[in-house]
Amino acid sequence: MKPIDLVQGTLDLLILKSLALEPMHGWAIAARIRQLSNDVLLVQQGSLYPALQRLEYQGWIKAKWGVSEQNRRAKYYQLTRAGRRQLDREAAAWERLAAAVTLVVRTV
Amino acid sequence: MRFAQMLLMRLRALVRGEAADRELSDEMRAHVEHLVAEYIARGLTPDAAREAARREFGPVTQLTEESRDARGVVWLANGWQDVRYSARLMRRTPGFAVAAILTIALGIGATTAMFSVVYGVVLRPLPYREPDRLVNLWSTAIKRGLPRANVGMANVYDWRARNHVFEDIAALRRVANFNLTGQGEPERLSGSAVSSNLFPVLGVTPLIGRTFTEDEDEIGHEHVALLTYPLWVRRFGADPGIVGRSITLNGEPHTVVGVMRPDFAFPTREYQIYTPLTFDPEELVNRMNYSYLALARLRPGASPAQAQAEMTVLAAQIEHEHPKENDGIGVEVVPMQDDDVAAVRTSLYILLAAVAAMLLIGCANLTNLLVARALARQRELAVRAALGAARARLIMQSIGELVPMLIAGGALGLLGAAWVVSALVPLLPAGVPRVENVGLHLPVLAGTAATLAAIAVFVGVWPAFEASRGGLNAVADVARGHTGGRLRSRVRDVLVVAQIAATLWLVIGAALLVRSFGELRQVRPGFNPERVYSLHLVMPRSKYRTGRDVAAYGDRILERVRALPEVVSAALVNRLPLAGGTQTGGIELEGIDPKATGVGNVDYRSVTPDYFRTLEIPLLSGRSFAETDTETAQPVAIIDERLAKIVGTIADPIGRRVRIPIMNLPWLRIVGVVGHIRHDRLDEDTRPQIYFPYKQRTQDRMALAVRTRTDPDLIGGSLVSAIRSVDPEQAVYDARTLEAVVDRSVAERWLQTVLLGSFAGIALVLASIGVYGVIAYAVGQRRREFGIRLALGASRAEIVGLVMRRGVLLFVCGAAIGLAVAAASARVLASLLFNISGFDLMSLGVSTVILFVVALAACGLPAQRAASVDPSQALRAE
Repeated sequence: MKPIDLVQGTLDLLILKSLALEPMHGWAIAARIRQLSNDVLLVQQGSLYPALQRLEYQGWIKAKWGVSEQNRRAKYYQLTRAGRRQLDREAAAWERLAAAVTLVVRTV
Repeated sequence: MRFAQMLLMRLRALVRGEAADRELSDEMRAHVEHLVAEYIARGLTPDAAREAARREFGPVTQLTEESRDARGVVWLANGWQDVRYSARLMRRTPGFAVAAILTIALGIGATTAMFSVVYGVVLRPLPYREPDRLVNLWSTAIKRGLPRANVGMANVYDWRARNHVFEDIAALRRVANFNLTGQGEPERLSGSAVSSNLFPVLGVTPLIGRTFTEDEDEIGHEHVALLTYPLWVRRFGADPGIVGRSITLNGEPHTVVGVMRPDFAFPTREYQIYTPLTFDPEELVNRMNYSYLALARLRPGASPAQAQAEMTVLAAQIEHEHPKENDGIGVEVVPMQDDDVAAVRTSLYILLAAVAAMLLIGCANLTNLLVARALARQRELAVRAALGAARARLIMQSIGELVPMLIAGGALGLLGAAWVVSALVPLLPAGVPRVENVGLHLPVLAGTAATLAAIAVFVGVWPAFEASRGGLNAVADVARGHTGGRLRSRVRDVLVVAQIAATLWLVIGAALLVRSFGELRQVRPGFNPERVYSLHLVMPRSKYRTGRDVAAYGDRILERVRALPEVVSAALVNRLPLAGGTQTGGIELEGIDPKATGVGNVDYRSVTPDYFRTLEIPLLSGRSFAETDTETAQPVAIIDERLAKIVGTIADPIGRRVRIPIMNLPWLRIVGVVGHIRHDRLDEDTRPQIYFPYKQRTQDRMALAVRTRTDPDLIGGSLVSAIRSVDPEQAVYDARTLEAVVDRSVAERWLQTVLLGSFAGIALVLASIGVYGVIAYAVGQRRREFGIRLALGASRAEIVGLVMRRGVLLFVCGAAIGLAVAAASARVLASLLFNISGFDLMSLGVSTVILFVVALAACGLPAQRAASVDPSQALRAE
């Protein structure tokens, strides 16, 4: 299947969700998204980075340098408390949107 | 809390900018490496793996830019980057940088200096409480030829009692002579006698001590004094114990009660000391003495217009009650802020407009300079644009590159302006009010900053705009060498045409002023100021109590002065012509109906017999005064030819009588007629004169005029010694040659002429650079074309003609616009001119010719170069 292009806001939601369990670095986030969506959402991996900057800038995630599994220096991102709240908000909004769209599509 | 965090993040990001960039690229690189490793693990070759990884990751550069944008401080960080880049560029092309910085410095310096004058003199609020509520009150006596005059105490009292529109009215009398004696050199100070409510009305408090109390307004209690800050510092060494000390003014001890704050300079900086205002209670009855100034504070809610309306009615009532004394006397209410400056305001604004025009001309040059340089970088700019850099980004970059030059030029300009202001302000003519307010105050600096920002936008935006237009085609164009384009050249031409128009306007203005000043100098003042020295002195009444004492003292001084070998003749007069200040009043000619003569007030002069000989005022008929015209002899007078004409011919008035129409003053016999002089100003002929013998109408404030055999400048010292040998305590002031006095009276016009001339000169230089730039550029563009023409047999002269034609065309367009603007502003300029109309053809013609020659010369060099193009070289360059 061809990868689906994602609208900016949705990417934010995916990232926040991925980080909900544990802190990760960029590559791992991309892998997690792919994994969780059963390979449907093949994000253009580089576009993670502007999104990560934006999320960090808005205070929903914060970054820390650490050492990766390959013993390399990597930047780890984790959810902040505000980020957790934002995740809940966005998830709820998404569900509402998805339900509404489904309704429309199903009915017609 | 969130906001603070965000701010902190922004600042951190800003500060760590470069480090953050490196981190990001490290991160992204690591990510790509991961992907490559993954693909290799799946079995692809390293090259294929790398390509797949790249594709999966996405366009790195763009993503990096996006990330940076997301950081939210991008424009600031980029700005700093641009500034650093620009600084490097500047170092590599110093010629360009120097030209740009100098142009900016010149423009900013001139504009700032001029604006600081305009602000200080016209715009800055007066340093009193709520200064927009203060008004000056003037008497008007149109019937007597005085559109504005001082006020009389009787009227002030009536106004105070009966108005509903002012909180309070204060009065003062300017006293030209306080002889300060005691410790140190005797000094004559200008001061004012003020009513005790003056300081409360103005809303000011003293620095130390107190101001006057109400009972000090009464005669007998008025021997107190209030010092201004400069006087306190200069004369008393800022001694904090000054309050309570006694000083000697006009021979009488006064107790100092306080010192005013440093910025208090009322009525002007010239007046350095205050005493309480007392006057003869008779004045309230006879209502005759109009030597006071009055000011008032409006009640809350009252407007100046309302006040004027009420006061007009009040004045009419008073006129009705006192038909003889107040006949024709009205009141004028003028807001204090506007009052003194109305006269200079127009000329200051014109000069400000001239400076702004000069600045624009300079900016146009700067723009062309920058465009020329941008051409060199056009490839880079086009590539950036093609790669998707936002137009806004490019414009910001273009402006950012200007920043070092703007800062350097702006700083240099500010320094220059500060120097100009401090060095030249003391030289400003005496007529310019509020000169002490001129300086680089905050609003002036704000104006400078705004100007710099405007330059940045005006000059920086356009080249970036042009460059970002291109797209990929532009890149290809640049690679092939097709730089410029028709549109760009059109805009440059427009700029040059504007420069020429503005320059022509400035040159015309300067030419008009020069001619006008020349006309002014041609005016005959009616006396001969050459080889005459003058000084002023005040004879203290405390020493010389009666008129006879004063007259005798004056005689002794004249005797000593005449004994000096260089002196041809010497005389005393109460008011020196063209020195500012006069005494006027009405006169009545016997047998002539005053209303029929059309003569209002005339100048009253008290003179010693040698006056006319000393100033070489021609005696037209009859005789001059003689030593026999003493206070016991028959009262006599001499009138000038203007008054004589009313009676008939010049000889007719001799023997007839004239008098001052006040109370019981006696009739005077006219014994002579002299030539008329221009007393107030050279450019306006105001009043006729009447002369009285010094002994019959003695005054204690006089000017000594001395005609010398040789150079009058050398005599000052000996004159003072001669005077001091009669009375060692006599203070002397305003000593200068009569020619200097005449020069000072036209100083304002001279200054305007010099300033506008300088601006025009600078504009000529700048415009010629501009024309040169455009023509040289055009020649550069058409090198191939000229080469082809030459190869095909065109003569060098024809090539020159082609180039010059372009220049002439630009000139004609610019000149047409410039002439139109000059014509449109002729009316406004006319207010500065004397005897010349704003449409003076000679000035217009000469200016146009001068500019034409300059423009032609500026075209000449490129034209020469065009004609000397080597055809084979030109054809080869591709």
